[in-house]
Amino acid sequence: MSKGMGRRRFLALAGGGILSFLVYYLSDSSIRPAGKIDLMRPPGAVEESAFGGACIRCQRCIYVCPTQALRSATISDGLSKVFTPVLEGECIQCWKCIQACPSGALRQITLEEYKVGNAVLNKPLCIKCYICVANCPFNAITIADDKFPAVDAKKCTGCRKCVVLCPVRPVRAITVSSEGAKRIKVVRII
Amino acid sequence: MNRAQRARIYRYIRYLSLALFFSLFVFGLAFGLGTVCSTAIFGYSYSCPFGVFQQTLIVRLVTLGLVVSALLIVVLTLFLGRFFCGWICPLGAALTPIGGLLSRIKKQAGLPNFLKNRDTKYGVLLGSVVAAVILAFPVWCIFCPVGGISKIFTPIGVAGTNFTIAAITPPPTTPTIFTPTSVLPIIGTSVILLAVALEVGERRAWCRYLCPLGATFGLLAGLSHKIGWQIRMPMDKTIECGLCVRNCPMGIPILDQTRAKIKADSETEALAKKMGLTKEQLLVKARKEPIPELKKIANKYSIQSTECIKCFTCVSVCPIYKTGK
Repeated sequence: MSKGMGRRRFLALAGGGILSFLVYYLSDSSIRPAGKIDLMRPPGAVEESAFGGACIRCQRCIYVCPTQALRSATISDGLSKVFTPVLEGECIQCWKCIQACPSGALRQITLEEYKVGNAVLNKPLCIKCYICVANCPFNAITIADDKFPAVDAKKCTGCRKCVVLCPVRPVRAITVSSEGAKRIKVVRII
Repeated sequence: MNRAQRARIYRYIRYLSLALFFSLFVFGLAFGLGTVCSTAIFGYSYSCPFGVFQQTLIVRLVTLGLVVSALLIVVLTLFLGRFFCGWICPLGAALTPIGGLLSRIKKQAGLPNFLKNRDTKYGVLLGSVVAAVILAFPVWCIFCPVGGISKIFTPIGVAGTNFTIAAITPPPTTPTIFTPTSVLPIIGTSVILLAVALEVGERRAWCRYLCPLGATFGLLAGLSHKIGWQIRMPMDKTIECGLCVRNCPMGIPILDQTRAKIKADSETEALAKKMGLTKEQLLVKARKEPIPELKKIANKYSIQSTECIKCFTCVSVCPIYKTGK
């Protein structure tokens, strides 16, 4: 009897382990975004390669954000990104998400280190209303010689205020990409 | 007040606790408290031990604050076993009324035998940990129905839209207040539905056979089986009516288990020899008159702490306890 019990136990352990591993592995390889998806992260995020592992997907940053600028990633962003925070509204540098993060995926930064992305102007759509120029909290957008707004990549922090205020619909004339974002490097000991 | 009445009160406190934590994890989020994965109450963080374990293995570094925030549940589990499953778990809170009703109207279908193995959950735990390390992200957390049920109202987009719509039209200028229009990713929803479907077969079948979180707590409880607090079977008084076994939501064979343990004990053998009886005769005799030596032996054996969720159902239905003492 004890031998039979041992075999049953082994079968359950191996079966449960292998089956669940297969489910995870197959769903990870099948649920991947088609192209490279440009996800903006909240301020103080560690580099993207480490972010997926460091975040425990507790949604606390999403819920404390006073401007509701964060959303939870879904499977259209890939299985490994599901439930991680994505910056999609206006960031006002209140650092509440950083203070809420228990896992060290978001770490305390200063305003000088703050850069979550870079604004890019889509000239054909722009109606030259200059709302972005007037409202940029970092004075990164100026009026260029051709009368179009011009983004100074050095001053722009990617806070997305210009995107939120841009009146052009359905696609906004100014967007922010995560390229050029300053992310915290993670030192791997092992 | 006798023991059964006291246990009944504990049971109602348990239902209250489940309801409270369920509403905290599912609705309290709107106030920025957190999910079952990590919650801030009174300024302190409490995190899910399994999530923290995966995170620590993946980043290969102890994130001190995070580990400390998981400690409270770990320490409580060392003393109280799988109390989390019976008193806090939001999935358990959702399953309890379903399974309770189904079992009361005797509509539970039963499960195929290959599913009914309590070791499977340890296998799932192992698979999850290995997958998390290899794929370098906490995979289980995406499938987890416990976390999933508390993330139901997480806004997927600021406007409460899904990703594709949000990508075309960036968020509105006026910030929206808590939008419950969002839905869980398909995976989380389907695992919650699986847990509910299993509940139709057997009460808390998910918790018994598959939940890796339950397995984590079970392992912790097994570690401290000797020092932890456990519910014990009154083997010297029992009339073997089997009410506790039939009412146990975790389906623990309380009676058989304790009897087998007592029979296997060398002290029982010595006692039976001393009284000139076989072990079976000794156990039968104990039902008619109290044998203090046997009680001492029986007291060593409690309900299996890796499975018991400390729900007090067995104590509150026990006719021995109901009639006094």
